[in-house]
Amino acid sequence: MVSTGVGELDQLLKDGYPDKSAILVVGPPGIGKEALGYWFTQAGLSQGDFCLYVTRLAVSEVIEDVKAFGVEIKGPTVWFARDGGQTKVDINDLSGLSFSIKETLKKNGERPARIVTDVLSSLLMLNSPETIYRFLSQLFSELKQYNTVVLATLEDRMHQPQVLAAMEQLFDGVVELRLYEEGLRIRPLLRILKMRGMPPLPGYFSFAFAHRKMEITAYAK
Amino acid sequence: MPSDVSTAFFVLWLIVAVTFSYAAYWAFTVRRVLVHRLYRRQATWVGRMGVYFVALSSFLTLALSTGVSSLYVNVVGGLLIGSGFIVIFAWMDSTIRVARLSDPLFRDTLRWSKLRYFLGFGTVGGAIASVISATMSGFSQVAPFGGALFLGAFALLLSASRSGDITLRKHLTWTGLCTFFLWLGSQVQMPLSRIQFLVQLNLPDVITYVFVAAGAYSLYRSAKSLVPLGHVSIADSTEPAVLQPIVLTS
Repeated sequence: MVSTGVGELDQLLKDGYPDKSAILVVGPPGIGKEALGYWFTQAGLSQGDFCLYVTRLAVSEVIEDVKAFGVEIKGPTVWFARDGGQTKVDINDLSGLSFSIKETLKKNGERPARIVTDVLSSLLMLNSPETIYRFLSQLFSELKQYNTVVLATLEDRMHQPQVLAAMEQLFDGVVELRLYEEGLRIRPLLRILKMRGMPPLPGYFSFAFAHRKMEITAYAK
Repeated sequence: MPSDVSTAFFVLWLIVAVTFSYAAYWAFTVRRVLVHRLYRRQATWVGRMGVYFVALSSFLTLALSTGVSSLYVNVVGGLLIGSGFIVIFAWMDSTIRVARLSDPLFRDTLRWSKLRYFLGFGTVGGAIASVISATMSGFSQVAPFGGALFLGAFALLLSASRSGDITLRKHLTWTGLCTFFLWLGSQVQMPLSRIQFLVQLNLPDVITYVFVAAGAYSLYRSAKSLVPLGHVSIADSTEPAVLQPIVLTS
């Protein structure tokens, strides 16, 4: 198992994400799903894993956001970014992106690798869902040779429900962060929609970002 | 005894004030649960817009219905209208920047990243001019926000059409409609005041308030559409496994 970087989430998932898996974090913009990627990267770097961050933003924009969550990414991270990274991300060039990721992992050797990415929503907006489905299926099967865990974020309600359902089917694990209306209040709740090797985990969990960490507690209406 | 028209006028003001307040409440509630600074800022300005229009509509209703026009009232009116320039500009700026972030191609609507500085200076200039104008010749002579609102409505509706994000598109459409109705509200009173028949029935004010009320409702819808909100299904939330407290330590 691979630590998520969030203690409570590790406990919920019985020690973390499964080895050689692809995890999808779904949630609306601004809710903090990227933070799961930051903590995942931080945990990987602290235990010497190879970390690759693939973003549609500039590195400086991501770093600014990372700092806002109080996360310290110490150690060498390889960046594929719109600006400021080792490799420039062109979200229109799927084969180039796939090739660059595999080449980078080859150079890394046997070390366990973690890939975090926020490009999935952009890819789905610029390409047909079928193209992205095929692209990801092939990429994930190849990445499993490299002892890699991929964590991708996807914007909720940015895509048609059937596209979201197809993406959820493709990933080994799906973590959903959503906002729920409860009378005159709004509650941020987390659900584990699925996780390879685990029985379905029913119900919701409240979460909050406080004191430079994510706090998760049981929720009952 | 108040006339029927002034009663209608009061009821419309009440509807406007309550709707703007409710819009502000939801915007600040959404802000509390968001963590990304750009989205928080956007929710903050939607909330401030609501609060601002409660203050402005209350002031205008009180001042115009009592007919008070002292220097003090004119200065307060000028400051309120002047600060409106800043609030509306900041609200549109934060919204257009969020729209850009959600555009996969990062398109710069109307070259906003550069235009915002030019419009920012124009906004500050407009704010100062309206304070001076209100102090010199009375706040009721200041026609507020005309060009800024019209341009804002155009930019917001254009951003909505470009955004690939279904939620943001909905939010931008409501925000654009709000801006458009407020622009209509700020523009119709003057031409309607020239029609004697309408003036006798005090209808220009009522028609203006109807447009402002439509703007208030659009702002409420805009605040509620800042993020997609779901409803917890009772079947899921009452699962025994969830009701059992779990000990979680980090």
